[in-house]
Amino acid sequence: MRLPAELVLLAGSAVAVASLAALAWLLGFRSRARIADAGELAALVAREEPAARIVEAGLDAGGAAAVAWLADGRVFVAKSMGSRVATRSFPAAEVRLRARRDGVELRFADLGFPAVVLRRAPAWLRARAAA
Amino acid sequence: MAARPGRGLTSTRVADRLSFVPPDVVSYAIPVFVVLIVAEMLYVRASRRGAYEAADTAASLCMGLGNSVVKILAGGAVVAAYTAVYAWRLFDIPWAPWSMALCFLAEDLAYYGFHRISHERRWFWASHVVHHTSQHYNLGTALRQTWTGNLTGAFVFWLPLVLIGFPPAMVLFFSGLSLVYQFWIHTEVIGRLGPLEWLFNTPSHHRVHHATNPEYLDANYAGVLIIWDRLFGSFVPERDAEPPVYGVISNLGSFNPLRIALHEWLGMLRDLVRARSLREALGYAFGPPGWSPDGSRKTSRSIKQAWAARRGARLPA
Repeated sequence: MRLPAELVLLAGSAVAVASLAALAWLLGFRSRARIADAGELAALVAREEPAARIVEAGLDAGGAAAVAWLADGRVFVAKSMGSRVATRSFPAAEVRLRARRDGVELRFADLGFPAVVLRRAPAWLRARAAA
Repeated sequence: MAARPGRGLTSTRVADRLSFVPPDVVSYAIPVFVVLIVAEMLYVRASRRGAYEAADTAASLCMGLGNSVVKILAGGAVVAAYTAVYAWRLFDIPWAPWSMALCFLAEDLAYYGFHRISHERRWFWASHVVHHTSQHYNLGTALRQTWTGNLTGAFVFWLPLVLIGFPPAMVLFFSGLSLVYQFWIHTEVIGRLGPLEWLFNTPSHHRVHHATNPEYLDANYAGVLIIWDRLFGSFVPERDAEPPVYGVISNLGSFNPLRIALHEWLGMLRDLVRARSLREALGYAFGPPGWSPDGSRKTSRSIKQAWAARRGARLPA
């Protein structure tokens, strides 16, 4: 019967996973990228969508996320992912906006890119969410 | 030659040489993986060369753990498929130095084919994308493995080997050895390795493979030997002037292992539901990753074309 040996191996692996993740945290590998201003957002758009033109842009109050409405009808989203930034472009029709007390939530039809909240969102985005 | 099931075992000695069960090299290697990851973390911390991110590492290791769970649950089915095909083998190939050398080469070529198609066809990419979803490149990334690969047919690429007559255990042994080999090449802390770069897949070659820079896309699919990329025209060397940017074209906005494992499958399912014809459905499932009927989404080819256009160059048709 091999199962017990495999279970022992799995249990050991689970302990190793937790230990290595904890070690990474203890060693200080936990910096957070920030999208500091509209200039950084524009640079991200220029890198990922060289032909795109920004119509309106907004940043999260803490710099954890940013959004830009593009002239071609798409929405560019940037989100802090640990020490890196993940970006995506979605057709505007596939982005759902919801006004919240602390800002605006953007939801996307993509399991790999969960909802993003822009705290203290700009007026234009709050207006879009309210529309 | 064994043209029919059950034929070909002419003596006990031959049977022993066909049914020898080698060690599970991946399981034995796990403690070494752990030690090397710790060593790399300490080196990165001290030297500032390379990078780690705690949440990213946790996600990668959880994917590796999940991959092990799936192997335990579904590994029997893969072995059963190998065994069933082996019953129709063309030759009785014993465990011997010459056959092991041949099997090593054949397995490495099968891996190249599997890996290349895993990047060129969405059905297989939906599983393999998991391995590329980290924006970091370190030994932890090596363990960021799919949960759905063998469940969706990845094992078929190795079936020709058992059909030829390599014992399933021999194929599994070299497949495991290839995985163990590929662990150490997931690092930024090792530069180039001189003449070894000609023959072997190295950290430098594999950094290119994990990069999203247009000139590096869809290159260096090798497992152990880089010769297959050189032979089949998919080799691209790493250039100091073009540091690799790691991840995928559509980077994930989550460290959640379930999202990492299933996002592309659900994206494909959504596309299939919306498909307006059989052609569209086939394109969404088996076309290149990013394929769309109107060409509005990014594919490797469209990214490379846009990049070439910006540089004033042309890609071959």
